[in-house]
Amino acid sequence: MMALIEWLVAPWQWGDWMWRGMLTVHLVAIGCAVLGVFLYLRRMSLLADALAHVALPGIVAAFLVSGSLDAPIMLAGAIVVGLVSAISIETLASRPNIRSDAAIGIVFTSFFAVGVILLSTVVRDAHIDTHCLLFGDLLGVSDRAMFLVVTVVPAVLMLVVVFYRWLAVSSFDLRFASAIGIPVVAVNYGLMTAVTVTAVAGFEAVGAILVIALIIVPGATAHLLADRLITMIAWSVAHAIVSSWVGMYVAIAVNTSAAGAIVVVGGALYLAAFLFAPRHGRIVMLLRRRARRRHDITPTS
Amino acid sequence: MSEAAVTVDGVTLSYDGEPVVDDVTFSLPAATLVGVVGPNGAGKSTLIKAMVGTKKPDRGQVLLFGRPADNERGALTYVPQRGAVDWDFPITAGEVVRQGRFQSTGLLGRFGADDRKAVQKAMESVEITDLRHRQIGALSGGQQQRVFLARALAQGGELFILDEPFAGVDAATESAIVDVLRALRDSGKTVVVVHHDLMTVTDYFDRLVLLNRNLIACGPTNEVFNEDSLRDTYGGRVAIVTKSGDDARAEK
Amino acid sequence: MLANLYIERAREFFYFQYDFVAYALGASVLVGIVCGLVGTFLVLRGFSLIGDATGHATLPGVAGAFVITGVQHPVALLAGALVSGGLGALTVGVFSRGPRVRPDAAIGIVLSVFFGVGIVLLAYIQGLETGRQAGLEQFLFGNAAAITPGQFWGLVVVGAILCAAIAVFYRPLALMTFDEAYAKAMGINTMALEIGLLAALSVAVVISIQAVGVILVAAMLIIPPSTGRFLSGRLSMVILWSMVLGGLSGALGAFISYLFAGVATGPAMVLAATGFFVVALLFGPQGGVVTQSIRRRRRQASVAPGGAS
Repeated sequence: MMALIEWLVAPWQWGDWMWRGMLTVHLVAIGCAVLGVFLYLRRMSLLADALAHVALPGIVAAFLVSGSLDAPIMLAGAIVVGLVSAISIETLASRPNIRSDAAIGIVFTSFFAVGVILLSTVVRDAHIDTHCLLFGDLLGVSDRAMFLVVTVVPAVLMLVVVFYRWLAVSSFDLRFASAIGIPVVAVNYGLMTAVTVTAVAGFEAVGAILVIALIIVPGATAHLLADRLITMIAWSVAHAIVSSWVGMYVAIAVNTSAAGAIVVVGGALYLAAFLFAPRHGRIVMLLRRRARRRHDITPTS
Repeated sequence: MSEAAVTVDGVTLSYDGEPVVDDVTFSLPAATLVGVVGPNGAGKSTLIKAMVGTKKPDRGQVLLFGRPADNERGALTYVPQRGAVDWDFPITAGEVVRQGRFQSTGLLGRFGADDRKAVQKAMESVEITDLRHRQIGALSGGQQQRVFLARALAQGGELFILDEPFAGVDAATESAIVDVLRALRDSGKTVVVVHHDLMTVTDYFDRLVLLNRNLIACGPTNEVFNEDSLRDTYGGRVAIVTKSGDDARAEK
Repeated sequence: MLANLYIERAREFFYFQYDFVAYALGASVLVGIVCGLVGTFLVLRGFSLIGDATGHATLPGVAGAFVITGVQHPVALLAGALVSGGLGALTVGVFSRGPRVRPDAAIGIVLSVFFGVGIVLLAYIQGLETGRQAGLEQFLFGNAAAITPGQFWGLVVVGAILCAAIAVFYRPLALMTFDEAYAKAMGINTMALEIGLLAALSVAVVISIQAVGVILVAAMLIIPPSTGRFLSGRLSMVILWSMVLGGLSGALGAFISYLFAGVATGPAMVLAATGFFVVALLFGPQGGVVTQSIRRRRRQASVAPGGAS
């Protein structure tokens, strides 16, 4: 027991990086988990994938225009390009022979390709580290990255609290929402902007891929467990916190990428919920079906 | 005669430049129960959208109680088609009914005693109080429709617009819903219902709007519901052509 | 002066001055053709982004094969990619069925979690300090120029087998794509066909990742078929257009990448494909934006000759 406690405490004494990493990853994870619930329920999970990818060309474009990599400029670039891509996706998807998933695939891969090419040619000497943008560096979070996360995530969460009723109603019943005067289009783009801002804030610390996982996986897990929106958000946040903790310690123990480890733990939690969730878990459903079949047979025989 | 509850004045509505409702004009007196009837693709739902304000007419205007529809949103209560929501959504029946009060409480307004009372009364009048803690997808089709009607009742208003409320519900629920709609009319509200079943039209509605892209007829049920107007509304070839048009739109 | 450099480079490219150029070009064209073929069925079924998940899901296979074998042997790496890519595609299928799961979220989950496993393995390899992991990172964005003649001919054989298999099963595939319930009622084993299609997808992805990389392979599966939909209303013609334009994009991508230093083949191919898509989106006979508005204007002109309003 003592050994376990010692093992849990030890990393905190090795230096600043532990609490910096923990604080950053928790904030990013909670912000993503809350937004992820709404994206999931609106069947927009893959838009998170797209927005996380197009943030790269956004950041590059902002650098090309301004010549600087300051946080606000980076965010502005990502938001502008993110909104442009979201509008392109919606415009494309409104054509009869393009489904929305194809629209997402077309737009984000094209934008991403532009970003990669710009990075390897025109802005080669800007110190944008693709490796870091993709995979993050949780065990060495910079002041800048932490500052971004600490300012952006609480602001986003505040907005979710304020607009909770609008978000909830428009996610559930879009027609009713617009009939009672909720500005559904503005809510939609507001949500996308919030996702973009959170994703970009999290990039440097946790990387693009982890951001995608942190947005999609907790909400999907929570939906297997919850019957009410508020409990779904609670489960989603719980998933984010547990996978952050466990993932960080696993990463330290086996000396691997913290972002990767957190994603893997989150995926394992999803699998557990998919199989064992009390009402909608597949194993429980199987047992229930078998019990019902037996019940159906007994009276007749 | 009192002022018309709904005035549709020369309204044309189109998708991609294809008109689906063409130059339609009629008005509905207050405190009546009105059926909107027509074949698939006749533009019924589109016309409803224009009344609710979610689709802008290309030409013409919709007046509610004599004023532009945009200014009268507070007086209008809308029950969309049941199929449009997601039954897996994590929300209980009671929470759906509570949404009816969000128009008056706004974003952060307190959910007060009045609001709670309105919700409770609405649930009682369609007999779903026992179901309020159940997740919406766990209810039967008829129970779900009652929940959405309860949300409308909790919202209140002078004009109720229901888009096919009887689709996929059992007979008991259908008659329960009709009773509620009649009670609304008797208390002075105007109720507009998009309806499919011609067998029950004369029984349910005081007035009818017969629609097939153009207005075929509008007036008291016993006057306009006859063979001639039905042939004009559902006439052979037109129905088939517009149906395929409807399918093409549905695919989008 | 700069123009001369590019002309010189273009000449080198077209005369195949260097062998590796020919193989890079061949591999890129092959990628475009195979992805265009398989992608058409996916796009028409509404599974476009399953290719994205499969592409990302190959990473742990590549890294895992390196960890197990300890060498960077292309066959081992691609075999690993095939196993984990196929597993990823099947997992999307499993997670997409039943209540309380969303197919789109299933794609996102597989994509990010499998990629996460890949990152963990890559970090582990980095820790091994064998100094060889640089080769693995090429799989992220692709590097067609690194393809050896042996690999190239291997890819050609596998690609030819894949195309032949799809040609054999063309009728049931086409039927399932259009109307799954009807296909099932006709006695077609749609489940087996579905798994077969996912297997074909995995093979197509594995063929492609050396040239376009795991992150952008989805583009080659989605964009050419979407372009084809604007060019024809017949399935066979959509497939043909998709393969032709996919191949052309591959060739253009290889050319651009040779011409401009620092431009990787994968992104260049994707941009070429996007270029074709935009042209088709505007001028395609099937629902192109400009085409449609011209047609509408003509129709309105013929309906109301006076122009009443």
